[in-house]
Amino acid sequence: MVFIGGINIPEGVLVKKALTGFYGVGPNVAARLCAKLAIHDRALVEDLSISKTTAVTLELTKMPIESDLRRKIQEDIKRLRDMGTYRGRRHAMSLPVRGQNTRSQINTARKLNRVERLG
Amino acid sequence: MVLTNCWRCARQVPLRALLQPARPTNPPATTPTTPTTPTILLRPKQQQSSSFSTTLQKAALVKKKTTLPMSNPKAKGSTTLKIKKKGPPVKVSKPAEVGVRRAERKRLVLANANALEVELPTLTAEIAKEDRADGAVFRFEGAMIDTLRKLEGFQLKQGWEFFHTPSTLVKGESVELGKLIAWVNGEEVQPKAVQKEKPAEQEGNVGQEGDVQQEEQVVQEAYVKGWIPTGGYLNTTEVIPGVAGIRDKKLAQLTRESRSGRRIIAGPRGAGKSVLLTQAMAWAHQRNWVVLTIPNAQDLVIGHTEYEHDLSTDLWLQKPYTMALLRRFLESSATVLKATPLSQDHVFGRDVIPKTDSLYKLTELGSLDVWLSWDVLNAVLYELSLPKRPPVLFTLDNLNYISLPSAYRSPDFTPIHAHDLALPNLFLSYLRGERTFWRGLTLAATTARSPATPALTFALAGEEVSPYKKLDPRVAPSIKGVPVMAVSPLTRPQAKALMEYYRDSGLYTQDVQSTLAEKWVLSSGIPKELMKACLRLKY
Repeated sequence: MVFIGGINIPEGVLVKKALTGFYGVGPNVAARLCAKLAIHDRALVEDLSISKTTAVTLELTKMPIESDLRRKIQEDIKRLRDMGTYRGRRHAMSLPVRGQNTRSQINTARKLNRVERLG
Repeated sequence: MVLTNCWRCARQVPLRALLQPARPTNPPATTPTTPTTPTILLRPKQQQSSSFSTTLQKAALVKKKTTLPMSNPKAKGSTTLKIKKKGPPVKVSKPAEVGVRRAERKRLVLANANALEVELPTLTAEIAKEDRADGAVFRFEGAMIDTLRKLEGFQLKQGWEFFHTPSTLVKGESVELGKLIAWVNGEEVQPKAVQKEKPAEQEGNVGQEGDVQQEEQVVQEAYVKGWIPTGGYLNTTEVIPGVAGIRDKKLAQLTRESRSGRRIIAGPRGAGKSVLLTQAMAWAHQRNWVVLTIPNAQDLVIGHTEYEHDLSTDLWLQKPYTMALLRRFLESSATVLKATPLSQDHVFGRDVIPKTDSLYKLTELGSLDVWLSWDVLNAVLYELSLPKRPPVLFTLDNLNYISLPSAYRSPDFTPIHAHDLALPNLFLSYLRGERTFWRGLTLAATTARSPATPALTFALAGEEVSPYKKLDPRVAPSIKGVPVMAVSPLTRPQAKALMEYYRDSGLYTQDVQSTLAEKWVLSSGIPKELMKACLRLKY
């Protein structure tokens, strides 16, 4: 187990894949982060030197990820709601915000759009 | 019967009412008298909200409907997409251990006990210079097979697994390479005879010369189809250093003895480019050369090995690969390296290789310590550039892969060009002749199985490229001035020799003489296709 960005990651995992486990880091951000630190595509977490591990953690602390990002998103939604906008209301009503049809298949909105948004 | 009304009065009553049976005498006032009366007026007064609203009626209708037994209980619009979640897959068997499947995939089989053993001459150093060897099949000896395996000279899918012992056909290009190796080695080399001897095979085909010529034309046309053939190569482009400025007579003599050759081997798929490299490795090793190999340039560019930026050269180093390169070098050329002295002490931080040690010790250090591997490689190359050092064969297969942007990314996320990677850059500097060994031969083979590299194709053909074409501008200068050896198709005698070898190995059961023309033309003179036509094609 290697300690990166506040969590323990198993050793046999690709670095790029492991980074996408953080909320707010997708494949593109992970690829750019790896390029910045010269980590090759097939690098495993166990292959990282201590200096590289520290550098990855340092880069992650500079980015809005995990609870910081969640809080930011919730604040943005709260602002919409407080202003009484349509988008704010739709968020609060567990309904799609961006004009999707609601006849069927609005599972994501039902799941995530709450007064305090999940995820 | 007497009517209660007079006929005059009866005219005002509908006739139908008169013909119907008698009704109760006191019906309710609102009871319809005629069926044509609108229904809405028939409802009780208390149910009507207003004359224009239909809400209550509709509500009443819906209520009635819900009582029906076959009605759908769900209201319209409440249906949702529900996909059943599958559980984790059931594991039937235990998964293979880490590395087992890869090892199975990369397993190289070089012998087949089921195939018949063929009596063949051994590929020796002397054969390299013999024009007569052209068109004959030779076998690699046991120790040589081990060395070539260490150098990764044999590759998968070359068909070695069908035969009892690895054997190879010596072609015209093989002899050219062999002579080049002998020349670099300082041996006397006879130039190639201009007049080609008539192949002995034609003895049985007297009177069919026209057919043979026609077949040859078909083979040539099929061979060059889809591939730009190069304009041949010159023998006079070897680097012979000038000695005009050197006053020291001994040094001038040593410099005069320095020789260096380079070639790019090009040809269509299955023409035998990689096998030519294998033959060159064998001949070089037999002459006590040291052999540095990059068996597949693809490994350098697909982002599978670690890389780091070198500030002093602005290149990207691949130290783990360099370490593997030095290990191959050490294992294959140990005897020669142990006998080679060092010119100076080599200091790498705390590690010191004193002058009294051999080149072997220096190489060993780089093959064990990944952090020192690049510096050690440079030190080894410096030692090999000094006079009276063993000659060097430096080979790279699949040149096309280092003529493209690599899968590596720079910090600003732009792809790193393969020429900015230190190892390809180093090889290309030897190939261009910018860096030389005291005695050395640098060989690169192209591949037909890479992504499209039009810039390289044009550069190899030596064609003028339109400035409006979007070609990689770095490729043509990177191989500028390098002689290109175009691998030619099999001649009829060469094809016959190969087919006889297949027959003697027990793999080809048909008559060689009668099927030769067919198989030769079908294969377009490409050895790989000939093997497929003889060993795999069924009717």
